[in-house]
Amino acid sequence: MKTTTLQLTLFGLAVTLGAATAAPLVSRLTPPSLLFSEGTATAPYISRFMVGQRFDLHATITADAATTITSGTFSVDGTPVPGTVTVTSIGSNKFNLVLRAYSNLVAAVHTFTVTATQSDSLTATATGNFEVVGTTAQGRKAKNVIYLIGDGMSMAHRTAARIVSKGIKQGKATGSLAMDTLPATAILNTCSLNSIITDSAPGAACYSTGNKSFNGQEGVFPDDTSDKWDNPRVEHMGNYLARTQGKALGIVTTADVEDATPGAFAVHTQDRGAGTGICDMYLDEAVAKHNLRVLLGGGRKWFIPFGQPGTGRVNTLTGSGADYVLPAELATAWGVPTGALDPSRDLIGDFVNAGFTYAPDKTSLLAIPANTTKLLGLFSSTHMDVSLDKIAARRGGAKVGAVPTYPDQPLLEEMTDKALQVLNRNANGFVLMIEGASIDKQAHNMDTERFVQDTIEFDKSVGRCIAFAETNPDTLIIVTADHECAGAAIIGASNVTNAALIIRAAAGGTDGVVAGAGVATDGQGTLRNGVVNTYDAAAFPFYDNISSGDGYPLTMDVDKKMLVGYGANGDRYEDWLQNAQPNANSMTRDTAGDFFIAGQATGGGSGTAVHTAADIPLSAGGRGSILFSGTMDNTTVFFKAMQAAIGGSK
Amino acid sequence: MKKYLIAAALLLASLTSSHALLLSFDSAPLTSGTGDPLGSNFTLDYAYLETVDGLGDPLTNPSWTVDGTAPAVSASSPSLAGWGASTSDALDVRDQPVLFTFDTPVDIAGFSAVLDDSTFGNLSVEQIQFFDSSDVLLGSINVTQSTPGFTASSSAILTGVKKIVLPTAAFYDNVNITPVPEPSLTVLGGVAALGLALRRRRA
Repeated sequence: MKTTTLQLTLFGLAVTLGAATAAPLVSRLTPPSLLFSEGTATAPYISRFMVGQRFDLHATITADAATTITSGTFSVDGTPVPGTVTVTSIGSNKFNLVLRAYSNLVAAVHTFTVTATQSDSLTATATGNFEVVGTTAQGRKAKNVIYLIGDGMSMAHRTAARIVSKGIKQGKATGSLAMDTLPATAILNTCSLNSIITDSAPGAACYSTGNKSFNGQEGVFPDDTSDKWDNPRVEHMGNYLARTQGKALGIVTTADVEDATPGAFAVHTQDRGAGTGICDMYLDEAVAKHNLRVLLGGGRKWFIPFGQPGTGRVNTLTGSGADYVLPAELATAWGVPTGALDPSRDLIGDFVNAGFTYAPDKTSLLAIPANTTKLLGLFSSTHMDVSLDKIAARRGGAKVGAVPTYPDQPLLEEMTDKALQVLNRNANGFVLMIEGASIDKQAHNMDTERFVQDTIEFDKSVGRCIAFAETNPDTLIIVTADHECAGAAIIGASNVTNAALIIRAAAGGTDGVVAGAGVATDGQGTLRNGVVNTYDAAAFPFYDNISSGDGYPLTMDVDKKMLVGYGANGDRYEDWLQNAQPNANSMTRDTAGDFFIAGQATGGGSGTAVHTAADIPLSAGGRGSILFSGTMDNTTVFFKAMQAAIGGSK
Repeated sequence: MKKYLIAAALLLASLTSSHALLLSFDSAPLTSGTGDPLGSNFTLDYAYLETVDGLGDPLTNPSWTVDGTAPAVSASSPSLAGWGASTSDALDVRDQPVLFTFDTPVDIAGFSAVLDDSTFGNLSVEQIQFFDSSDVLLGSINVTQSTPGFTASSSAILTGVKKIVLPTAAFYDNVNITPVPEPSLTVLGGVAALGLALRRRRA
């Protein structure tokens, strides 16, 4: 009896002490799960991985005041995970616990638990779950996987490209976009881990990792540090298939190669803008680990040593365009270099020393030797110019944008041809990501003519891939986007000839209504009421795609042209005419017409349309395309592509 | 007693010493064979898993089916494909499952195959599968294709095998299929062995 009394007394004391000293708290558990965040153990499972796909186990622990977290363990399904758990103080009495490069070979839903021990021996524990997805043998494998990502491209962007490049007669398209000819169709949900509106980083990384992340992040899960490079990683498709099947990786974009979508296929960072580090990581990690053999796009500035003309490299690990240095424990666990703050690095030279053929322009790109096995092409300082301006220059027209500085830039289809030529030399196949980047960028700027023509350029690249697949039938082609951009909608067509539209745009409003708060601007009468035809009156705009001889529209400013509105628009002036300059500020261009359209979205500032949460279409063809149908989460595309590449399909 | 053990061993030997079908893939033809030891001709083809019937309705048992669009099965040294060390030619099953189809179902007492010694493969555990004429799974052998030089083997007795499916991501060499001895031969062998043992005991 005395013993029992003593036990109760001790228990009471313990309870009292516990109340006085709060236990440490697990405030984040990675990979993310509803089981951890809200106690829901059932689907949807937020984090999913392929069998054997590597990822980091991570937790953020908030310790009690005047204590530290001294150790931690992770267990999966009740069994401790072998390996080193690194404990790092991250300030504000918070600690990172991380166990790197974990993988699981059992296809099932798994629970995992972190247990952290505080310096006073108190512990914190939390449980989450993740799903490991297997493949099944179904037939012939897709030797090559080609992702074609029309950045920001949804149904309206595709429809607009079809109307302009193929035409409509009596209600029927007189031709099909190349992407229209692909037999499989699906609809994708695009939300990111922290918003219904994704940006391009997680919107594209989901295709290479199978997982969502916070906006701005690629190849990682979020953490609680400002370090751009220490986040919990998820292995990319390119890395996985390089180490398990010997496939090569190619990345082709019309953007700066450090941009979100290309980076999402080979880089691990929480800052999509860290250009110096991202481009270094392509060579330091992806060449060895992903078997990266093709990198084509803009962004030469990141490859030019600091201090030399045209450089964009920076001498910082924290600022804009940052370089990278990895935590030693991360580098060791993933078997990659730690990186260095090396602004003076000659990255082009380093690529060449690694065996890459370097092409600075279209002429040299088209002239690469047939036996080229590694190819780097950097065709402008930042983003490449859009096809409308590249084509105009080729036709001898005005040279605008960066074309005067970089007059010999290739079109996306030309880059695609060379990428396929080089990658196809790898007997084990390849993963290739091709991005039509400025569909998004020009839709942001509500520059209809430029986003539509870039969609046409992108579609020509799709056509080149389809032609490749006809002679290489074990190729899976996936055409989709990362998100919708601008809420683009085809609202009708102009009521007037182009000549008349020019007069109206120059003359400005003539309706006598004085602009002001809540009052229509003069231009509404001139450029809206007098121009915008809808329904029957819109009829069928016609664009001449023949006379130019290059497959692109002779002009985008045709009589009674197609008109596009923007449901996610920023403020802008609109006169419906092609803007003379790319990337013109929407608040200072077209002002003569005095037709002001107030946007709902402030986005990145007035004058910028924004991404929307609208679902996006996916078209697929070739080996394994039968796997794509219905409506699905964007992360599911990764698993279907992996099924095609590993388990095969009918 | 020792003689009984010898007799039992002989009986066992009569069960296991039957000629096996050995496919080294070093010479043509690769696509078919008489399968003499098995008592049935067979074909080798690249295949896919059909899940629906001609009307598009789901099959009760999904059926491994010859892929008429695929090329004939081929063999080469894995090293030529960057898929391991140089060896004698091996069956190329990297990209599509290979289907053994027997003209008439056979009874199998053992199966083995050696996979290439590369580090490439499928991280998932795959299976060599054995099906009867109704596409009912009779048995399987787990295959770890990421283990260099993996040998898949089983001595399970399977009756009425119509199809054998080799999963992808590897070169296979020296496929060895051991038939179940004919019952009459078994009995004869066993009786003969026992008779020999008894005769010596009496002598």
